[in-house]
Amino acid sequence: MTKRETTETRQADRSLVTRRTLLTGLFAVTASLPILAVRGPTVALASNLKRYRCPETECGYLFDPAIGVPEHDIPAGVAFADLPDDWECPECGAPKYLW
Amino acid sequence: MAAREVFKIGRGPSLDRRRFLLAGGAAAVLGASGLKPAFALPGDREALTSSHWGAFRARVVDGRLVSVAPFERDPFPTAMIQNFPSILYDKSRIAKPMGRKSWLEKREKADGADRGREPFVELEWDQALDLAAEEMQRVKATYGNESFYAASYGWASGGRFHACDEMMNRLYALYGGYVDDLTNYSFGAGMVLLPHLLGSNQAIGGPFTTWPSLVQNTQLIVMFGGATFKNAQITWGGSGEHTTEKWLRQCHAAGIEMIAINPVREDEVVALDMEWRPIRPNSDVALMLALCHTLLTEDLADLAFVERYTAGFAKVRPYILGESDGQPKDADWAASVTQVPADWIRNLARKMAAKRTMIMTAWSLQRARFGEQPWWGTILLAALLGQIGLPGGGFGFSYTSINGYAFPPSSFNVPGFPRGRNPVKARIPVARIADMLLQPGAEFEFNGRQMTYPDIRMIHWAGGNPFHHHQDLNRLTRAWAKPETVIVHEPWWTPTARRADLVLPATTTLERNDIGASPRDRYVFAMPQLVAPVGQARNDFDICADIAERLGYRADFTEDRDEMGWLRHLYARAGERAVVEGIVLPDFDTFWSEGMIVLPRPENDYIYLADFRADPEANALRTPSGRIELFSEKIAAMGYDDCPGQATWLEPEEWLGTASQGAPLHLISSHPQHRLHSQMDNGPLARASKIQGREPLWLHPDDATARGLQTGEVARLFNDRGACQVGVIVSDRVTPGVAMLQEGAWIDPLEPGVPGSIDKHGNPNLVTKDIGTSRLGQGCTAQTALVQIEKLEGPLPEVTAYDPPEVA
Repeated sequence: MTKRETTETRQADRSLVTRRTLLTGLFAVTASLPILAVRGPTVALASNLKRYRCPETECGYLFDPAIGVPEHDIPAGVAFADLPDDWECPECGAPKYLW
Repeated sequence: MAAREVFKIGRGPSLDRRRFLLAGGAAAVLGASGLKPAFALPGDREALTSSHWGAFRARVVDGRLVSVAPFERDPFPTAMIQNFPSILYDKSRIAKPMGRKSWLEKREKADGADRGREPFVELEWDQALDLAAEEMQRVKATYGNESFYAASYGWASGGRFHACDEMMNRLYALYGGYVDDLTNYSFGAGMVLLPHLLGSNQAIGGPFTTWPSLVQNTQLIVMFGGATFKNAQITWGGSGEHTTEKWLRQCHAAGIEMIAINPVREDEVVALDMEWRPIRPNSDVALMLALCHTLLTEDLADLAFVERYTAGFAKVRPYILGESDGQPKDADWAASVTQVPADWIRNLARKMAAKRTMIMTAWSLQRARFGEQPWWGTILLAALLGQIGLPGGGFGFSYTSINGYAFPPSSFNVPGFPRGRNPVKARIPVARIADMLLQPGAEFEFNGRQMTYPDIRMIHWAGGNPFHHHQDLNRLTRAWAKPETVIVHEPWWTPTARRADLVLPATTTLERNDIGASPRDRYVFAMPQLVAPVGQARNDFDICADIAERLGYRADFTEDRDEMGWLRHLYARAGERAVVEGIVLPDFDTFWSEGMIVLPRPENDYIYLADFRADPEANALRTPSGRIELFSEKIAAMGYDDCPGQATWLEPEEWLGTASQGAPLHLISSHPQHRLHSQMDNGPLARASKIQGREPLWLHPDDATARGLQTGEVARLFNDRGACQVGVIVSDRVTPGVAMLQEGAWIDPLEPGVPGSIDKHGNPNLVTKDIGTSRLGQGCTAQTALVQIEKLEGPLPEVTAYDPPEVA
């Protein structure tokens, strides 16, 4: 198989043409400058325990031992491994064993 | 290795980091200055908003959305945003609450098999909400909470508050509970497997080795399953910037060699000057094992790394070398399985060992029978290369499957609408829905657990479309007839809405206020309501609150907050979280009037498992051994022959190796170019891509010639499970023996509601198989399907997928 294919199939490629057409010729926008979040003083973490991001794509919840899980009355300072076995993500329900 | 610069590629303007930080000191005040958009006409409105397809500016004239333009800071916006003005007012919008005719007359005594084939009756909102509450009450009293299926799986809409699946969950959690789902259709098998091997799912969800680390350090990227720009048009929860294509182009510009191992040649192969290596579908793990074999037999494997950082290799090695089963997994063996030439395999192994190599394995590879294996093989191969934890080396699973992965890690996110705690513990792996409905009380296995399918009597779904995303839709049609009640909230007459008893019209993001944010993006967007609700559509929040009111717990559901009250509440909570990260957010009113916030770029780069590599004792993984488990005693002890204790070549029951005259082709169903799964199939882009109204299917010239098919013709795609009509594109972008059909066309059966009826529109799930990846992961197996294709002669029936159903 060669690195570059010479026989391109135009029908299959028409998506690219569509896309360019649609992204040009649009009305002009005079945007305001964005508002930026400010870096504030860093808060000392309760410990250096590891943080875990919920694995579900749509979720994004971060388990942070410095905060704990107020929704579940779990205080700061508890390591992820020490969460109850039936613990679930407070936002999407992903169980602990899938983290 | 010479240091490489990370530089900027992209179409749109973007502020550089220095300017951000310089501005940052006084930004909360200064951000409010600057030019405002100029309005041409009185009554015009122009506003920035966000969506799964990225942020965009919307123009409203006389209360109607007339046009949209990409967010000016997005380097690779997607054309799909141009669908919004059309789909917002499309004829497929649901105008009013509706009830299925016989269900309204007979309720639970109506025949569920008539769903999708009989007319609807228009209802007033009060009637419809009374009916929903009555059904919840009746089903709870008669069968208990374990008979509710309110998991409501789907992409729904962007926005942290109006997350309709979470609203559905909360409505039922506060009512005593519901059967929920586990995992997902995207990477369901992988996310069950990885915690056993790596101690977490960080390799899917991140953070993992960042793109800048690749651009600066990587010499070779081997992509099992390839990489596509099209998949990165979308982000869960929305995004300000589409970055995946930018980073892939940077990798190319940095001179990184890229190899796509994929039965389909996608756009990026030419754009990135990649080598395309077609492979037999579902055989990737055999190729990975052969690469390992060459590394071992040619003394190229990093056995010191294996010794220090992994567990169980002593059991894996005899399998690779053939000492345990008499079959060395060498390149010649793999060539016969994969149809990848043996010399090429050996050369690739040598090249991977000689270069700084990143292995990217696509989500799609594990959406196949025994889909756990290619992911396990990826980790085995990366371990033998010994580059895990090094800059630009190792492996990853999500780089190009969706936009926004592999940024420097950001720990900030805006919280979502709280789903509440579900008192019911019964759950099913999400892709086992038809099994559950067809076999209540049956036992099944999942990840070492013995579980039982609950007896579901009522389904309540918002913002998802199982009659697109589930496999073997004829089987789902039979299963869907079982429950007594099906309620669906939807903006459009999707195939799922058409198969409901009670249909409640919901707003889209453009018709309500929300906050757009994702942990994989640096922007937080105000998503102001742009237009009045279309027809009688209402927000899912209000629908759920009104149902809760009828059942006596409105205040618990709403916490006495209205829409804007919730946005302020979630934003305040985000502010509290931000402080921990050293970020100060402006107050809500400033945020809302300005329209967006740009978060500081995380300062540090990230290399996945670098800490583990530096000190494997102090940073032990959460696996039983504390190391990378190349052999898992825990999985082996489950005794699953469909997922043994190590990466294994397991021949699928259905693949090209078992092809027959009746089903000689392997169907790959890829993510679509012109829509998000089935969302926006009713938009102008997707419609323009169809062939005689049918979804295009790619077929190799040899296979097309053998069937007398030419580009532009319509064919019948079928197997024992079902059939659909497709438009044909003859293309050498698929390897011989393989056909590719993008998923997401709204099913449009010739005889609606009748299992086995041909779909006129071309949804691949008419022919895919509804079986779990294995007893371990129970993920979906959409990429395992043998099919036949034949030419269709004679007049074609009209495609009616977007026409509203008959109203009695």
